[in-house]
Amino acid sequence: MNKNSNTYVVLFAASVCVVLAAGLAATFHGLKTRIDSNKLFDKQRNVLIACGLYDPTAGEKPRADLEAMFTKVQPKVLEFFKSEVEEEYRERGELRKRKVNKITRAEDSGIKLEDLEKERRKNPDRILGEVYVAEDGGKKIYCIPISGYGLWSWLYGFLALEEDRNTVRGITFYKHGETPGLGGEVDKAWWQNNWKGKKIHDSSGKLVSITVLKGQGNEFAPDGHKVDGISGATITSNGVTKFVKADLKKYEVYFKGVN
Amino acid sequence: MTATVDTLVEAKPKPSFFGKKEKRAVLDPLWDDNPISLQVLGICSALAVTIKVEQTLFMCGAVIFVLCMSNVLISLMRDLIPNNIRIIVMLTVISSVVTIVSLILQAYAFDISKALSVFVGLIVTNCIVMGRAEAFAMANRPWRSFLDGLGNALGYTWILIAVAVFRELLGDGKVLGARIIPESWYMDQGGWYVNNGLMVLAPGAFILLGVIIWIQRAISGYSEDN
Repeated sequence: MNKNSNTYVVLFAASVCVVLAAGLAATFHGLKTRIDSNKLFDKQRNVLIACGLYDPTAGEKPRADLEAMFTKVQPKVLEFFKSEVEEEYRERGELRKRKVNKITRAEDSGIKLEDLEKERRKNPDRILGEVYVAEDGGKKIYCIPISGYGLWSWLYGFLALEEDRNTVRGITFYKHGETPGLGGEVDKAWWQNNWKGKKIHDSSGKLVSITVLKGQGNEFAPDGHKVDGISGATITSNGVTKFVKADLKKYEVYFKGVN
Repeated sequence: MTATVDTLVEAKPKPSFFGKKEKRAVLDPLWDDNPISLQVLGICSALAVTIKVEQTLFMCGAVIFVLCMSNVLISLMRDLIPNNIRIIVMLTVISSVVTIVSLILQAYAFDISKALSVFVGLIVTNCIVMGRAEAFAMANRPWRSFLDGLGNALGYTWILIAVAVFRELLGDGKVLGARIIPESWYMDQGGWYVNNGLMVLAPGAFILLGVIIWIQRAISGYSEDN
């Protein structure tokens, strides 16, 4: 057969694709359980880091130790319910009222953490979310997942709050596709440490969340609601600001109900 | 892919197992025809993954595997590949091999695969891999192509490791995570020494790479003119 005929080219290209795709599928299938268990452990490790229970910069710990530590953390899957509420807003100086759908109730759903993804796929309409409750020196720590869009990618991480559910204890990111060296620095300790001790509520108790801004190192130290951003990563920083606020809003009803 | 690389065209049908040409295929890229210092290919990853020696070793291992595998696979298929779609076929083969490497890293060295982030995937676009497939594997037998891939990957490896050793030593005071510069020398411990922060950044790698190319060309007497 003529090697440059169209039929040959098409047949050759198709068979190369089929053979390579089969090879890739087989490799993926063979390694899937290992990769999944690595990913799960990575998440658990990041919960421990966000909660301030493990600091890899002070010395790495073996996987078995961390897994043992994680067994003391209590994960809970919450279900959030929306209902219509009246909200006041301002339009051209006039105070008006409108009805909005807001999350008003959070309940323990009873779903196990390992079944969360399955349940989400089965019932995409249910608003679910996990919370990890840890303890350090008799005080509780609440760790919630945060995720949202940065510049190139969806970022996934955890935000841990102190027992008062107001002070940030730690933040981590375990999965993202931001530019290494710029937005990718969100997964580095030097930046995450800036979040520690910041407050998510203002003095009147209103949720203001935390804004990532351009500024000099300690300029924001007295202001508890701002974090110094990363140079060259404005869009990632704005993304983080946005989704941290959205996630905190979602969990606010739960935090209010905890005693 | 603008590299000028010499293709070793088979003259006789009976090649020896490790004759002169095989030797050249492995040894040339190490020094006389080094992909990084002479052909100046694959610089992007040379700057990005050389902060720590450990990461560099895994990256180089991945590149060795990808180069050898892609060269052998392309060489095996070389008589079947239609000329007008050969680049696409090569790219498909290379990306499949890279994906396999990336999956293996995720399964057996998860932390490293996270630290290398996008750079494992970017091996696909490493000009050395494509360049060798086009310039060598398309015209040579699998065994010789394997040796050529190995030689080029090793030429890439030794330069990267040299850069990484200096970057980790000067930027962090360590090599392979083991402390070389004693803690007591440091300024904050009451000593006189400060890490060179530039070495942790990409420009530090650029400077080191320039110095290595300079030294190598001074020894080998290479000049752009001839």
